[in-house]
Amino acid sequence: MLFNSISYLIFFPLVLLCYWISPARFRRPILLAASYVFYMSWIPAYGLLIGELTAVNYLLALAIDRFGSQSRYWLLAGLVVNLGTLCYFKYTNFLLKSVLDGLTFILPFFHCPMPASESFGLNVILPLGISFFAFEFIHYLTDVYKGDKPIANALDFGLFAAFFPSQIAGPIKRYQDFMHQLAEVPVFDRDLFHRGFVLLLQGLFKKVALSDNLAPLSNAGFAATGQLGTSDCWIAVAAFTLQIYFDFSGYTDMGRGSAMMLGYTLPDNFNFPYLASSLSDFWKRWHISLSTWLRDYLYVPLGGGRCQKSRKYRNLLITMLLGGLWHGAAWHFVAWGGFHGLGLIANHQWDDFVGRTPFLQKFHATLPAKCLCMLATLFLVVIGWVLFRADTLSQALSLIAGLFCPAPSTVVAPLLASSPVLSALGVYCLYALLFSLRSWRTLPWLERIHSQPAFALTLPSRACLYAGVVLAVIGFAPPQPSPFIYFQF
Amino acid sequence: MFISQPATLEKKTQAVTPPAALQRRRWVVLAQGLTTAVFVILSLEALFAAAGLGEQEFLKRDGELGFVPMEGKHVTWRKEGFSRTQFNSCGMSDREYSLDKPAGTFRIAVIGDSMVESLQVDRSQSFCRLVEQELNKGNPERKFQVMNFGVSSYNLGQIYLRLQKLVTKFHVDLVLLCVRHNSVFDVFPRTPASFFFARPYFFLGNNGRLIQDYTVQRLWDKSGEARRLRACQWLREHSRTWGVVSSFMESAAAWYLQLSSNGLKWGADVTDKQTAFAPASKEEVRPLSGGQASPALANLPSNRRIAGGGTADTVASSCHDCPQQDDGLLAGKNSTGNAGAGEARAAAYYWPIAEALVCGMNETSQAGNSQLAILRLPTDYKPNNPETELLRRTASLHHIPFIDASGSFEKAKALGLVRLFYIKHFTPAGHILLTSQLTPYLASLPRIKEFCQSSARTEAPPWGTHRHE
Repeated sequence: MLFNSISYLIFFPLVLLCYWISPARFRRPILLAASYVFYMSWIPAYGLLIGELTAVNYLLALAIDRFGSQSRYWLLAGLVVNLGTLCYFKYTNFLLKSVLDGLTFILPFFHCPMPASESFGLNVILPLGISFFAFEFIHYLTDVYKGDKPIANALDFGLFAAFFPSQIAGPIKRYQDFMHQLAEVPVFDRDLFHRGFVLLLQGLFKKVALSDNLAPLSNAGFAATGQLGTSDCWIAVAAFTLQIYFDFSGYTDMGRGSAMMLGYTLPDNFNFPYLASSLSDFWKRWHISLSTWLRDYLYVPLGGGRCQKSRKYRNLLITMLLGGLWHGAAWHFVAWGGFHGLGLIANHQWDDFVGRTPFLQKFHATLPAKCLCMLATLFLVVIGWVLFRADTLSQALSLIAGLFCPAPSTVVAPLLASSPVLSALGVYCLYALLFSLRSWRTLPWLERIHSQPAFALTLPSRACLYAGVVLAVIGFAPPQPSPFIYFQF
Repeated sequence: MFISQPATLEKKTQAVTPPAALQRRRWVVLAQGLTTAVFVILSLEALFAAAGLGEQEFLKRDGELGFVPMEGKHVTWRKEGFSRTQFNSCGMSDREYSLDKPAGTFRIAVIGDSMVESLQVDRSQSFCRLVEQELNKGNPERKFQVMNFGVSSYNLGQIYLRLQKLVTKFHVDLVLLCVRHNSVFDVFPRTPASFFFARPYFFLGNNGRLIQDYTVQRLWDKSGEARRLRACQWLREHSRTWGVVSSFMESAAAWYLQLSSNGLKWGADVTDKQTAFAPASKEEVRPLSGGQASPALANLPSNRRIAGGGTADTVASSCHDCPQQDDGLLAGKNSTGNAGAGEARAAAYYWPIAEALVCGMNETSQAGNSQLAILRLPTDYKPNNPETELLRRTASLHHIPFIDASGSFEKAKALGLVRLFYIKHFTPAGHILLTSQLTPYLASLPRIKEFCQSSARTEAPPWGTHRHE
């Protein structure tokens, strides 16, 4: 079930109604049942898989907590179960295909017959959100292993695992935060409900009006690599850069908004990532729940940054390569991770160099230098997205070359002229400037605008505004909605 | 966020305010709500106008023609291709024209359906505009005006009525009737009736003359859908927000229909059309002044003799490349499963009505001191060759210049170098190819030659020469 589907439009109000009108003790079971309905609406059988994984992890955590001396083995078993499931569904075909490609390259040298390509590969469908489930379970088992208390109530653990607003594409929850909320009796908070609704609308606009209208531009560009002019390449790449942000942050907003309306808060995943001043800053702003997970459960166990520089860089590179592979079972995702890993290493070295050079230190504090850093970071991120989006490495390289080779544009540029996306972007920028930017930085002129009586809106006025946003979403909705990009991960 | 503040403010104010102040506050809240509503609507209108959204509706009901384009309506077309255009004050997808023809001007009226209307491309890329540019090229003293009278979904009957009602007012010199493939099927009623099919239909009286039938139109006008359209006519014409809502409702209805019937049903099959072809009650019909089928066709529909000799069967069988498996307009709609042969047969069977309409257009044109010419438009579907053959024979019988543009399109399609059609309609490349065919042909017509000779000519025409078929 998609957050931007008509099914969800029916499902969510029903859940909301049942949830808030029923007595407090029934609310969690209702939410758990709703979460499984949400998940099983796609492939019902996979509901069992998630149920089994939840049960196994629940028992493993209890075992880790109980058998202190053997807890390491229980943790290992947990890692094998979770990573094994992830690898089976996500990486088996990738590994087999890579082996086949390797054999195709090597066997002719030994005059051996080629294996039939049909014999390679499993006919499995990737369960939705399996990567997110696996990461949450690993985090849970590891934290219990480190000494945190496991969740005693199976219902609570089931809800932590399957909570539908964060089920498919995160944000990756921390069980301590979530359990803290579960411990309290859910009380209807009008303000939280209202903020959740606004976030839901904001996410809907990002997804439907922006991301879905940007998708045809980037799809057309990436489908016709080699025939693109310079402007075509830039438009396609810029479209994807914005599309992936609006798609993922829109999804997260809708998930967080839905959770808020149910009385829960989920961690934020984005903090104006394209305004980052360096790559390491970018990873503090982009997919925050994943980057902190990678930091806590991969980078730090590998040795982290408190060691020799060469080892620190190695850890960084491994973390980013695996982070890239987590995004998808393909070499271009690994390349994307590697690109960011190398970028982060260069970033660290540059920071060291600046720290040693007083002139550069001074220059770095100035506004032009900050703007320059932001532009350079954005450029690197955009190049990285080409590796991420392209189907193959050669396609990515062809597109990157196209960015700098002058050629007439006939493919994507005309599409942009017919797309309403620029108007939608304009509206969003205005909205972001007036409302979202305020949460990022305190600006006196913005505060003055917000202190105007016009901003103290009453319920009828707000209802009109929200109806306007809904109408705008309907108006900008393209005939063909595109699926969430992060669903495949 | 802005939304977190008012709730607390409201509570505090309510706690201390006396009843009179509370009453006043209610008015203030109401006023603020109304102001916000107006602000939201105006903002949405401005936003949608900038983005070209909610501008897809451009047809309104008309008692005579069934439906006509809204005058002055801005349209942004995204269903197939893309264009942003504005209909002129006469409901033409064209610039403004004066009713009086300027001196030294030769006016060509292009009549037809959406293929002529060309909403799929920018107006400057439509074949009407390109032909005009080509004809005017090279000699500033010669002035051609190619006027676009095409309207989406018009059948031959509506085109005939538009010619009578509107085109003749402009004192045109040449009327170019553009006939697309399978247009004969639109001359008789379809079931079930909807906005597009609620239009005048024609049948032949015992004397072989055309009779206009309003039955379907009248019946549909009594329906709930018609009442709804009438009630929101102003909004349809002026509000983009309404356009957005309307479009959404259509999508939702389609989604519901798809859900309930597991697949949308389009149009009707040949059998339905035959049963729907019934004479109307007396008050619903109106005899027309023009349009008479050939005397040999007087006893239709039992007599299936066709114009130029032969019968429906002989036309269908003499056409060697007649479609055997139809994949066009009637694909999958014939319960007999023999759609190709059925299509050819139906074309011949109903041709007399189409022929009478063409004759009517010819008579109307001649009465207005202009000449009718026929352009057979190419198609991206399998061509309906029997229909083309019938059209050619009708044109020949009534001495109407005829050009079939299908051949060059078939060749270009076989080469596959450029895309000529989006789905049903021309791409810019299709318009260019059609222009390259049409311009020399028009230039070779005696009327235009005469006009060119009468105007001061300083150099040779740029379009070259064209040999009559």
